[in-house]
Amino acid sequence: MALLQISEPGLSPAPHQRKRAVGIDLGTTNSLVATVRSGDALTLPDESGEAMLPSVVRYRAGDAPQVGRDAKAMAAEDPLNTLLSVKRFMGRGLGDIKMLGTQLPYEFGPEDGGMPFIKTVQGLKSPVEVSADILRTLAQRGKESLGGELDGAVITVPAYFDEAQRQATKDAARLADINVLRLLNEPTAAAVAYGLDKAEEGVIAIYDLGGGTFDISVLRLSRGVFEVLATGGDSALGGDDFDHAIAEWIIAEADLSEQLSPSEQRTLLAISCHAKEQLSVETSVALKYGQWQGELNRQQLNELMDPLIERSIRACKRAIRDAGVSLDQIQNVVMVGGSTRTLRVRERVEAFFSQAPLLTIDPDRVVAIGAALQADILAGNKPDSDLLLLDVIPLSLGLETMGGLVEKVIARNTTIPVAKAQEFTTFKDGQTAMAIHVLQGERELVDDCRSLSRFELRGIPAMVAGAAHIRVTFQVDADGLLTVSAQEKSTGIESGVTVKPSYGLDDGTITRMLKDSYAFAKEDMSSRSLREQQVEAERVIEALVAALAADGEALLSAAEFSTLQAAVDSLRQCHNVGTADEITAEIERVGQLSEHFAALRMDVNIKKALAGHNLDELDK
Amino acid sequence: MDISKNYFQLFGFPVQFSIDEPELSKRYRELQKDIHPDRFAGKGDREKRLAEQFSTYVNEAYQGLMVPLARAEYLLVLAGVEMDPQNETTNDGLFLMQQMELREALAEVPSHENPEAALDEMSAQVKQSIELLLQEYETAYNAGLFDQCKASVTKLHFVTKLSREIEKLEAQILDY
Repeated sequence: MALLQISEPGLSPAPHQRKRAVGIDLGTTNSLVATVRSGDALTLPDESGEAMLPSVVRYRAGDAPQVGRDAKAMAAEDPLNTLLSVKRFMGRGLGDIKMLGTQLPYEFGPEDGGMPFIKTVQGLKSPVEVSADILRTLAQRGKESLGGELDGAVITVPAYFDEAQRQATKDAARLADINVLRLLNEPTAAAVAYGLDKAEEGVIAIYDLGGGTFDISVLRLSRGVFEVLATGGDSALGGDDFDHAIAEWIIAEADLSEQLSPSEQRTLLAISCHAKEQLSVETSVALKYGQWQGELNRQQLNELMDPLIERSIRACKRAIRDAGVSLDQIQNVVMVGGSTRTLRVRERVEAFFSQAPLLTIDPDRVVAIGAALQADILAGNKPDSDLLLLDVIPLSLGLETMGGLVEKVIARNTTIPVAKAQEFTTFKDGQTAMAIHVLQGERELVDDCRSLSRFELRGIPAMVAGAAHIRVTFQVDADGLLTVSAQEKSTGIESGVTVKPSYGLDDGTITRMLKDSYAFAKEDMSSRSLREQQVEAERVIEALVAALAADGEALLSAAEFSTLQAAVDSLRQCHNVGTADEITAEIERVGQLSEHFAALRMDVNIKKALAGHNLDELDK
Repeated sequence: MDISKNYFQLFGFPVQFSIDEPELSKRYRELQKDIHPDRFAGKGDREKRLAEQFSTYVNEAYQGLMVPLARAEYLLVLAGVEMDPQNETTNDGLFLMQQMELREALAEVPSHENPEAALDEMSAQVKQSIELLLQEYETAYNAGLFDQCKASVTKLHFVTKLSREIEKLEAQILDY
């Protein structure tokens, strides 16, 4: 009989133990979770064998929310409490949502300028909470399948997602108690799934038409490094729009009143969606809605869809130009998203790129599979992997200047992480404060760009106009999240914000939502924060033990080595018996002690990377 | 890593204008492979933060060397030559005249009978003048004539701006 290995209580697991990591595709219409097992990435099914989880949540009075198919089945019956496609609302204000142009059955809560809350029998729900409920269901599936708490997850977002939308996605993960290893752009994930990272060199286009969003990305691949050269798309274009176009056609043909009830709308959209799917196989379908009967043929459908598909092709042209490549340099075209099953879409894409697109992996699963492969690497399960994804920011970031104009600080398609500073000055004599308004977008006028955040720099010494030097620094991290700070140079007065987008949630709201989410959970807040700190402590211990084993002797004096060794022991002790706050403090202490060591190691890494170049070339 | 290292030292290149661009890209990717925050995703927050800083600097340095105009300006910074490109003007009359003509030609492109061909021709012209100005810069830099370098950089800003306007118009005309 094989003996089971059990480690000493409180000891971190042996470094070679596999981490439990998953990839999550949080989609507009459907979501999936996938993981890597014995080298293969596979999507994880629910108990009835279904991998796809409809991104639908139904709230019920006095009971836990229903998520997925059960919820979707109730959509027509209970439209006000059954929330669909909330991804379209993430990081958006009510104004934007109305601009989506579709008839929405929901009742929205009082508008306060932020992300809209939807009225349900369980109170007001933010799109972030709804997404968290979906994520929680998927994470649970991962836990059951992998046999324990997850070490981390990669969650995918459209490459086109702006700052506010990314932040909202991260907030949802936080609510669902998921450790996010990385937000990954969906198209990049798709390219990884096709193993295109194994090719030596090449330019790849990813055409991703989902239910609610369209993305085009141009990637360059060279020896394991993926560079996103350009991204573009339309965050309000998707297969749902085909359904709406068909529904509107039926409304016109049947001469129906435009004021349909929510459940009538749902029924009509379901008929439309079904017709669209059938017409990829057949050349004409019979339609029936209420008293009305009619027929839609493929030619008519194509005419309804062409203007929408044309919008996607225009975005392709633009992205290719932004990438600085020509059409004939593109070696592969990858199709992603359920809507690429639509025959007409395939035809038009093939005609535009003059090559047959790649379709061998299920376009609904390809993103989750790529995310799982990346999660496996980021969690440290594949230390020899060469794969690195260098992402860019999808939209330019800038500041409002006089006259309602936007001064760009970081141009779109800049590789992240990135930091850039720009200097500004005062407009009036004696001006002592400055309003900093952070914007995202390509247009020149403030009104045409998306407002991300506003804050003030106060206490500028009174000077004549134009004499003060205010340095504003933008920092974007590897997940694409922005921090802005401002400093007056002569006095050093500083002010800064982690950009909480205008449509984001403040920390207080998140805490309240966290509490709410425990209403139907077994765990409470304090046990969760203790567990979070314990997990962080384990991570720190493991990283430091591995680092000491690898480079400790070479880089540290005996005294330094034993100091760090002692720090590890004391953190381990604290991990076992300490409160959340005590563990946090101990982690901080160990962090400070090991800072110098970490910097030394980084230096060694760089020298290693450049080994063999420096000397001879510098001599030249 | 020493952030006080200049961009050239960071990538192991001599401080000079000409640079082997494919080799620079190669070294950039090798560096990022080792220090990108993704390499520290499962580790403690502090290591990730450190990686974030280094990776940011490597990106900045790469952009600073890869774009010829940025590289030209950076060499002047290293040489201690001050310049404020936003407010520099050129007093080279001939150059200004050419610029004006080019701008006029650009304004007429939309009414041209074949605007696409007209744009292509302009792009080629602008590209060539950028090449010439970069050569001019390099010669001046190698001879230590920093005032001439500054003049070239100022002109390069003019021409680069024009090339951006050509791109913008191209996008409009070709309906991107």
